[in-house]
Amino acid sequence: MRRWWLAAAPLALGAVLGGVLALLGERRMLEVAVAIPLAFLVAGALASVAILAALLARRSREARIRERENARAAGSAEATAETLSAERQRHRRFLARLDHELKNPLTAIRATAAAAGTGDPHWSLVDSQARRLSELVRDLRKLAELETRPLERESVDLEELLVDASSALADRDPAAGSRIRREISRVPWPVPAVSADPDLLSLAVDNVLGNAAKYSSTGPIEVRLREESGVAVIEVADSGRGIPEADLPHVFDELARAGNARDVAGSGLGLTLVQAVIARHGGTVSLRSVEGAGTVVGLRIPLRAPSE
Amino acid sequence: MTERTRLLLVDDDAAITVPLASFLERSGYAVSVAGDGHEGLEEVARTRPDLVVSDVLMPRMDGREFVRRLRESEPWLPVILLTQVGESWERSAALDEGADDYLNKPFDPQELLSRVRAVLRRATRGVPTSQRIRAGELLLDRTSRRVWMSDRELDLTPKALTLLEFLMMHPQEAHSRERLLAGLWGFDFASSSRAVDHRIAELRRVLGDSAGSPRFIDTAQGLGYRFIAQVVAA
Repeated sequence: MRRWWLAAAPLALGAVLGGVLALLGERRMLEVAVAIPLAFLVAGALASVAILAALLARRSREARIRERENARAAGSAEATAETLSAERQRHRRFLARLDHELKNPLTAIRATAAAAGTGDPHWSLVDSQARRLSELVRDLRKLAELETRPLERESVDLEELLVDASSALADRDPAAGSRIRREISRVPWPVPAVSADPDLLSLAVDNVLGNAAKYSSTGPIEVRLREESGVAVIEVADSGRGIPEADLPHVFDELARAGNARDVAGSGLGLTLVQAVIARHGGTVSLRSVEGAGTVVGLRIPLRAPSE
Repeated sequence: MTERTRLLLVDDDAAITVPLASFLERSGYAVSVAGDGHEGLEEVARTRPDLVVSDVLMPRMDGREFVRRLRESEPWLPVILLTQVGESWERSAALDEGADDYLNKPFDPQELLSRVRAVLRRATRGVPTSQRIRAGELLLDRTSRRVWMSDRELDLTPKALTLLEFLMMHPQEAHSRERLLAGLWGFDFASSSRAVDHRIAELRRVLGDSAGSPRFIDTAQGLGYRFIAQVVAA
């Protein structure tokens, strides 16, 4: 915070040097020629850097807020919750604006690449990078959208939903599908249906199940369902690579990826999405993991729908 | 020599219209460009395009107002809206306002091209853009969002209704589950496409249609779904 003036130092230095050279009568000109494909690549890189800088700024802002909140831990819990939700709303608005500002430049880059044709490898590179950036922007926006889109609630049989999710995974990845074991508690009574948006809920379950398949190549994937004092609990457990302890506090953060997961494709948005969906249903998500041993993710959904 | 199909591109951002027009020209279309809704209406009167591609957020007259005004004089001219507002329910709102299709920025220009072709095919086949459409005894009112089968009103969930409307507006085309999921649910995340299967099952149940010998919705093997009945304006 106090080191902001450091940012101005190069500018001051440049101004002094420029001034001295001008006074000495320096008249030589510098001309730079840049190939258009390179210019777009650089523009794409700059846009990425801008996103990164914005995300870093947000992270440090959140850290400051956490500090502040720790400092007044004795203060009213309600006020804290309000600060957090206001902060969250600001964050969502920021994402929406970021998305908005990046849309047109990205469309322009992709149109230019398309106009240049597919023969040129440089343009293909520009296009594939622009596509990656487009996907990231789109997923961030979808996430923001999830917090506000109306829920289409229906009575949802969770066992059925888990069976569907398992067979959908088995369709995509038969080996992972054959590792799934379901443990559904039915005694003394089955888990009652919940009032939920079935599409969003299966999106969340698909993600958790997909993670279990992605991060464990062998061993069973256990899918459990039970009721615990008015809450339906879904657990998905695997005996995969697990998450390093240092990464655990950030698993639900946007774009967070565990240090041992770089070899597996992913956006770092899956668990954020799962959490957003379950929170919309008044529930909570928990995650326990030991590196090298496995992970269990718990989705807790109240049987009675909270009034929205 | 046949005359080239004329497209009108309406967007205030020249960084988009210049390369996009050149891409569409290379793909065989004659393209003219307008910078906002006002210019768009003038261009429509001047160049008589076969299809309009319009942005939504523009100065002076935005895309929605443009489509509304356009519909007063040109009820049949096909329009593809480039939606800026990403929410999926906003997209169906775009359709309600009389656009024939929509695409979210940033889009793949190849995808725009295939949408242009599909909308033009539909236009030449005479698939209606009218508010009430019919397939056999199945009647759909797009404005009131109500459905009847031989005068008996059907009870559908909002998602199933949106899906039915989309399928009826794009008959005889096979739609992948992924495309339906992305377009109607707004899910582009990696996710199961069962959500689509479930709604199709609901539609078949309510319409009394069977997967084995379908009258309305056919399963396109390994691909997705297709509305097979003839759709006409009602």
